[in-house]
Amino acid sequence: MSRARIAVLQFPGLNCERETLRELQRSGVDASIVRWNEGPSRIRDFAGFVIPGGFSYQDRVRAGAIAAKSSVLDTVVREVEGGKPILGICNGAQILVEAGLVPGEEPGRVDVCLARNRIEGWSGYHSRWVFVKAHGDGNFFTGDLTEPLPLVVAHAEGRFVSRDREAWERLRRKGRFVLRYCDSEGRDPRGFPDNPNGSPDDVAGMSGLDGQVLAFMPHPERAAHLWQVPEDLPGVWGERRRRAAGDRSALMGDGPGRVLLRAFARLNRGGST
Amino acid sequence: MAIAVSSMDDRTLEETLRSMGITLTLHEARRVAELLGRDPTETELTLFDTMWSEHCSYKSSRPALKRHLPTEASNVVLGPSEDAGVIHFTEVDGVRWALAIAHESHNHPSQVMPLEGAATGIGGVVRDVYCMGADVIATLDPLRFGDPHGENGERSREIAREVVEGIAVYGNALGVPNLGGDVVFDGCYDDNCLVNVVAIGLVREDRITRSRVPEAARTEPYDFLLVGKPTDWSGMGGAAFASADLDAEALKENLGSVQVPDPFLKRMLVLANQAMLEVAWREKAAIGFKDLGAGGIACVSSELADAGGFGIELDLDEASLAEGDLPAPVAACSETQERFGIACPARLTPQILRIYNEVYELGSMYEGAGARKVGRVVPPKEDEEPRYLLRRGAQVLVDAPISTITEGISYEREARPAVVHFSERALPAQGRDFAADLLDLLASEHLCSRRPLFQHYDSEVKADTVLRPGEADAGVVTPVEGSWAGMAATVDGNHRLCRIDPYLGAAHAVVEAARNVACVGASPAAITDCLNYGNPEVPEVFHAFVEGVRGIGDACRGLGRIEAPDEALPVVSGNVSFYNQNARGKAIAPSPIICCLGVTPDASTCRSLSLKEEGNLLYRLGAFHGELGGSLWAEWVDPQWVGPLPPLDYAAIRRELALVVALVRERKVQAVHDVSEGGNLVALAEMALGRESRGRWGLRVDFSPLWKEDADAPSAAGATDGGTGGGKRALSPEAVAWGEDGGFWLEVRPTDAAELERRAEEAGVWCARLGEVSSGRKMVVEGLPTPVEIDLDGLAARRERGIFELLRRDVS
Amino acid sequence: MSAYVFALCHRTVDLVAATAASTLRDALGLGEDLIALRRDDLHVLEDCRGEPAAWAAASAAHAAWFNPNTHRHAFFSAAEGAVDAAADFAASGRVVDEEGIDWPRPWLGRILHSDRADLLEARSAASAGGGGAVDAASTAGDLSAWLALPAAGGAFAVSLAAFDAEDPVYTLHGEDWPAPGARVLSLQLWTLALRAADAGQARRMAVEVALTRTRRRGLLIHPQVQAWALAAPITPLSRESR
Repeated sequence: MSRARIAVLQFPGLNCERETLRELQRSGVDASIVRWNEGPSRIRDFAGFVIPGGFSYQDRVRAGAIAAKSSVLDTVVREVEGGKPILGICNGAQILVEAGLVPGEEPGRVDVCLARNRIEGWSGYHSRWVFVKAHGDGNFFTGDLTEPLPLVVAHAEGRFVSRDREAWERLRRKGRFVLRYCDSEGRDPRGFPDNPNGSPDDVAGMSGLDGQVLAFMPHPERAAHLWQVPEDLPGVWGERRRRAAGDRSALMGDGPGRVLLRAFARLNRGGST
Repeated sequence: MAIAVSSMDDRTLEETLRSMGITLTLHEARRVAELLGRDPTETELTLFDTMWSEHCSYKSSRPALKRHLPTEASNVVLGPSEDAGVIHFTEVDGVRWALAIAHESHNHPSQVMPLEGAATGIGGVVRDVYCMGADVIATLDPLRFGDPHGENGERSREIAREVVEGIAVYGNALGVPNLGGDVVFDGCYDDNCLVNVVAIGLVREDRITRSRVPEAARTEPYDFLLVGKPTDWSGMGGAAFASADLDAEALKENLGSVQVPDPFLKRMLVLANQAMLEVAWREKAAIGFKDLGAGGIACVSSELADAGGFGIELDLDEASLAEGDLPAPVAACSETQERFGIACPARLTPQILRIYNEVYELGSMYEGAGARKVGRVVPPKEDEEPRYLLRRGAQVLVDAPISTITEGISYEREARPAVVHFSERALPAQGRDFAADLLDLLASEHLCSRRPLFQHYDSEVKADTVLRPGEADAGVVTPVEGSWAGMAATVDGNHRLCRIDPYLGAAHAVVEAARNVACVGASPAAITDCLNYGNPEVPEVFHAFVEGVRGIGDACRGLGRIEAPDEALPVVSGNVSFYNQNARGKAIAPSPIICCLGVTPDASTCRSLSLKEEGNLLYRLGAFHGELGGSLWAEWVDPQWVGPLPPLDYAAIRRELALVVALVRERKVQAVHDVSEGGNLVALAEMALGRESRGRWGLRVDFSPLWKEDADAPSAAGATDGGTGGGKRALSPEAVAWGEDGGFWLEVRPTDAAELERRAEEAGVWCARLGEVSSGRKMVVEGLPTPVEIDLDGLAARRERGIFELLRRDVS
Repeated sequence: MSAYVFALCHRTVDLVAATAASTLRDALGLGEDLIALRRDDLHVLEDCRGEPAAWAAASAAHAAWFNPNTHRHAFFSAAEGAVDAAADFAASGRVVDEEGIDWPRPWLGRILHSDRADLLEARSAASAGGGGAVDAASTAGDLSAWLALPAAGGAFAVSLAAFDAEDPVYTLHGEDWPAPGARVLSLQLWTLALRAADAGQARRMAVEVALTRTRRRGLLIHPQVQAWALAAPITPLSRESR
């Protein structure tokens, strides 16, 4: 069966498209970069989508807001509502939330916001290695995840919030909070820095529609190889990284982020798994 | 309309020039008229004002730079002739890759408007690298701020906060990893912060673009295109501003001289530029490509044409202007950001315009942005000098032989040494507690964790980062796909040393930078220098400048290159920033800042500086002399005390660097850290704490072999001088603990210890086993007059709190 | 103690407003009915001790607020109470209903200082006999002079203030300010010039496109993180007015 083709959507201002493409390809995915203005027929050719990180439209009005309402998203939304998977990383996650694909309780309805980080004594952009763990099930990307994964976050607006407490509770009960920050041992975080942005319920990634959508703040493409993991991390991944120092083939081996990118490799050309 | 400079009396001319915002001296203004053979237009005066500014013409500094700095080596692809220097990096599958590097200052703008100043500093320096055809793969930012606890403490902290924000705003959005930098606080920067920025790019050696109209323009028609943001008022007079004193009035007036950054537009421009370069490559067309900086359109077009030996004609009516009524001198010379000039074959013009205007739709992101053809290259005719002709419709704004504009001017400045007296008295070291001083120093603004800063920057975009800022002594990336070749970079500069001895202090900066890249197994490949000094018209200041340049040159020759011992470490790019002084006219401490680029063939061997495993051994490598002059601890104990600096024994340092590089590459060490500010005690504490102050291990070492005469001296073989390990002389325990003469600490597996000792002996490098990595979070140092037994968790807390308290940015 | 509003707008084209306007027109269906869209940054200051001129100068010198390269500013007198009202709005946590809620008090007043000479001249001419009192007429007059909306018949200007719902109010400290303890509410003022049959329709149109509810409805304000209010009387735009 021929491999499914995946589009990495490039909006003006995104800046992680090349490494995201590189690591998708190294995950066995047939991926290409598609510019925002290449037209709807080009979009429909693909079996799945990734919106990478960066600053689409310079975060004008709000991070992700303009791209979410752009005409290329019309086509993308239709395809995703038809069942094709989409992964939004960082700014990509912000776009999916603004587009109402996440959580997507009612198609297109914007129920949550990725709000400014809330860190004691520090506002704005914050980058650090954190740990996340999968919860719930049924999401296309996180299905077979068990161990806590170290990944790097790098954002200023990464806090999933809703002012409607009941709606938030419903999302929680439905298992929409598929990736949550934890400590290096997989335990619940005790606030900052394990939870790097103050996200309630420690949500790092939220699932959308029927599970084929994931809005995810950390950057898996920056942790796709073992060598990308810092030596000084606590936990088993840090241990693996230190042991591999100087060993090129071990360092080229999978990093913690690989599993999320590899999900696409399960797709065949028809778009089903 | 011509300004009658040749017939005006001094007072009238002075008033006329100042009312136009022109900083040329009366002599210089009349010289313009002489060169042109007539009275200049206002635009011409504005243009010469920029071209003859210190910033553009290096009018005071050029002779010293030419005389002292080595710029050639076999790895240099392009020395300091264009916007960025280029060195060879690595060869992969027959393709030769090079690194392009530029180093700039943006000091005065950052003092006036810290956020915009710092952001446009990054924006400007990356353009210098992009226009070599390179992709920028890293930036670094050496920063100097005022005393956060001093009279202007609050302002200094605010500037620091805003500068950091500006760097983040620009670099993060552009998508270029921040790979390092340093932050220094000192009262001498109270009224004049230093914001230096380094950008490093990757380029195929066969695809380097030059900032000049190519030879092909003699045989086929060439157009001049302007791409990017529409020209506006912003940044008007920036170059003259960078070259003027900053007083309170100037601060207010010069707000308008700070440019407006737009990393988003730059990001789009970068993508479009890459597509444009691809087209030129495919069509086998040589192009000229240069960024617009000080002097704007007039400067870029005249320099592009003149560098190739051509004339050029432009019409400003063809350029995209943000406001229709922009006065001619502004339209011609404004330093509006995010613009490039391209000289391309006319046959490619439609294709190139389409890339910017349609494929990347620049106009839809920013009104008026895009690409426009604004002029054409004029091939030189026989016995006629190439001319520069700038019109606005029918009105001629500039019409001159092109070399007149670009030639620049030069000044012989007077140099007079400032006398520095060493203190007669000894440092009041008696009764001090080593452990308490270590805790205080690591909690102070000088040595506390920089984590909140570098976590405000994106260090991992592009996903090529092997070592992040703070993880080791240099940042490392592997930018060539499919290759382990690593580029290491670091910045250094120590104003305390330079304040006492501007020559030796500058040399120390080179040596320290080289040591830093060696720590990650990279051999020093080239340096850049950003020379921040006071007013060069003051003889003592100018002398310090010349001495600094001489020190850098001597250090480069003294260190050489590991791969080519006969060659000097080349200086491939740099910048001079004068007129850095406080509100009372007192110059900053001489502040030459060095960026060292290192290259390692195998970045898989790079290690972080933190301790790795209980039971590993700790070695001190490299001889030292025990001078405390210019050290952080001496200043901490007694700011008035002045003593001699540690001397530099280049032959010994060369051997140390080569040995450390070899050991790292051969995976014989588990962690390396060099000894710099705070000396041996601080170096060890940093290894125990690690980047985020959460190291897993403690350590136990004994310093007595370093200074007690009755102790067994460790292997003394090969040491050539009077330092420890050679003919031993009594060093003070303070000098051993806090001295900043360099050297390294190495963590080594017990199974590698014999090999290390043998290699050190063979290489003639002093090396001693002084302790080991221990379990438990405790740092124990024996052999000092007061006990050092430090709880590392407590130390971590204090070190992490330090800069956070200084720079905290509360929500809203 | 006095209250002021420090208002800022872009000196040249505001890219955020320009992009937002084309999204409102093309993606959210306003089309030609949106005549203009403006975004102003407003800092509402209360409990200010000292001279108004000192506060105006300090605000204009505050780099985090104002960059003379990119922005223009005006300093208005204001009624006390706006900051507390904002805190009430935010604390109530309510997502405002379709009818909207008017700002409870006339909070924007006379222009006291500006880097726009035309405004100061117009103000001094208009207030030749009047004092500094805040009244609805002067509010509307000065605000619309500041906003400089395009002339258009059968159109209305609707201003919506949006601010952080979580921590709307903060306190100014430090020697840069004439006196410590002033409380600040920073907000964005979106002003839409809309072709509409009447003021009510204009308001409904503005709220519809401002409040983000679905991918196709609303852009300017996100009710999950922002509180908002109608910030000024809805102004009919005549052909003669600016």
